[in-house]
Amino acid sequence: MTCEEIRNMIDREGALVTGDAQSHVHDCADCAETWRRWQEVQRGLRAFNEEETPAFLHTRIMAHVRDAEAKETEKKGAWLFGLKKIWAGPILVLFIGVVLGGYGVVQVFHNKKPEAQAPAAAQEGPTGKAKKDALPPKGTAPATALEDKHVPASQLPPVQVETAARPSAPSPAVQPGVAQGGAAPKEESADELFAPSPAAAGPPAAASRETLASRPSTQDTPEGAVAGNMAVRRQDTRDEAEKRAEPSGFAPSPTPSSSDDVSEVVCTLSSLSGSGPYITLQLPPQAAPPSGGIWMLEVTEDGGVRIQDALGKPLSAPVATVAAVVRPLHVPPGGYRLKRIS
Amino acid sequence: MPLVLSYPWAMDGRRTEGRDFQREWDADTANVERFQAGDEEAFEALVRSREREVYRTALRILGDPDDAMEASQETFIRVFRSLKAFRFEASFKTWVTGICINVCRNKLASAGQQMKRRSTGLTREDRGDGEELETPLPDRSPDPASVTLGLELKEALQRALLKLAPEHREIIVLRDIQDLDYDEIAAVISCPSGTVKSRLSRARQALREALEGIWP
Repeated sequence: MTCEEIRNMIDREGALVTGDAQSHVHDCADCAETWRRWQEVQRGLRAFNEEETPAFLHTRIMAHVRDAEAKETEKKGAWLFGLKKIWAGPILVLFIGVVLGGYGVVQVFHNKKPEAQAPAAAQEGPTGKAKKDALPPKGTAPATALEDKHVPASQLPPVQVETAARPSAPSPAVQPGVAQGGAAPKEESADELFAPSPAAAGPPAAASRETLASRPSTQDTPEGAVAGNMAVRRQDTRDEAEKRAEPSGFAPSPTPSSSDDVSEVVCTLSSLSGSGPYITLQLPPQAAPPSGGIWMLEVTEDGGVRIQDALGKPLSAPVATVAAVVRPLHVPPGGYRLKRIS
Repeated sequence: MPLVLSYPWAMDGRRTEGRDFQREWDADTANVERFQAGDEEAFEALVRSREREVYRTALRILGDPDDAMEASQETFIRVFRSLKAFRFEASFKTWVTGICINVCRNKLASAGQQMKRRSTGLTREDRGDGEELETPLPDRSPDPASVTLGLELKEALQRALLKLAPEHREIIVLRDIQDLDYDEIAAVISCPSGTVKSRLSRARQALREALEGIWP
């Protein structure tokens, strides 16, 4: 065994692990010196492991550990608090946005639902011939066109007859061809105004050119409620149209308008009590108030009709024509206002 | 490569000096299990059983008592935070020693960075055979003249240790000071046993060369 191999063995193993190595060291002074020095180094290194440690080593370590843990806990809390602080604004804005968005969606649905169901409601009402009659004549716009477009009253297409009051009777009691819509009266119920009678089940009179965007009497159902809402909106639209057509208010126009040239004009029949039916009629110009004017109608118990102009002067000429149109509607006896809106 | 050690302190002829390693191992295991069960007082027992070894290891690697104290504290903070996840894939002693070595490496790296910032001219040394050595630590030992005039072996060894590359220094500490076996060292520094042997041989050779001229 060579001296180099002995040094390699000491470096690798830290000991003379073979008999050859031990005998070589015994015979070789240089390797013996190398081995002696290494043994002293080993003793010195191991002495390091017996050194005294600083006083209060344990106390200091534990104090440091506890302090670090306390800081860590505090840091986590601070982080969470900071997170809350940072996100408080965006979360608040998001919350407000969600609330407002939700409210807007509800409003949109609330407004769109009646419009979407109006045509369906109109189709569900009359059946058979009555349904066919309910359609506006060719060349005329459907009733909804009157509601959705803000056109001057003079440009409104002719509409046969439309009632906006809520009939109380179910479908069999509804007279075919008569619109049954929905605004519930404030003071008098529609039941009182449109009390069904045996005659109501009969066919319409000859004057029933009136056709209707009629709807079933389903006020008790959601569809009926929607139709009722539609009727309210229609009434609002018509009121606006009336205001535009009647800038001077209640006073009738002193001179007949040029619209008398047309074959029919559109009028509204509304109860003087303000809570009765609201009916749209088509009348010949001769049997209608002057443009923008108003007549007072009194429907008697026997179904007769008396007419006065705005100044209280009785009118006899249009009585027969108006009675022929109004009588089939079976409006309750009482005072009415007939207003020409086109 | 997790190394499962059945008996980390197997009686392989190494010195025991009256210590009952098996009992220590059992006590560590019991304390770890108590801590994992929620008994934080068990952690204090674990610190008490390993704090001296950790401090001495750090002191030999770092060469400064204050740095060694800081490293010891940092080591046990890490132990405290990670002990819940300890799965006994190695002995508690091996695990703690590994954490201590990592802490010391971080401190040495940090010290090296600081030294580079202070002295831009200090770079890696070329040993002449193309292999670069790590940047040497600041030499806090007495001047060579006083050592050669009869300073104790202990101080000469400390100075020589500080001249070694960190990986050589730590393997000398683990093997010749802490008396870990090759498998334990492999587990601590996360490398194969063969690498441990070859690195240890180079470290002893470097130590012998570092002592020449310092210790007669």
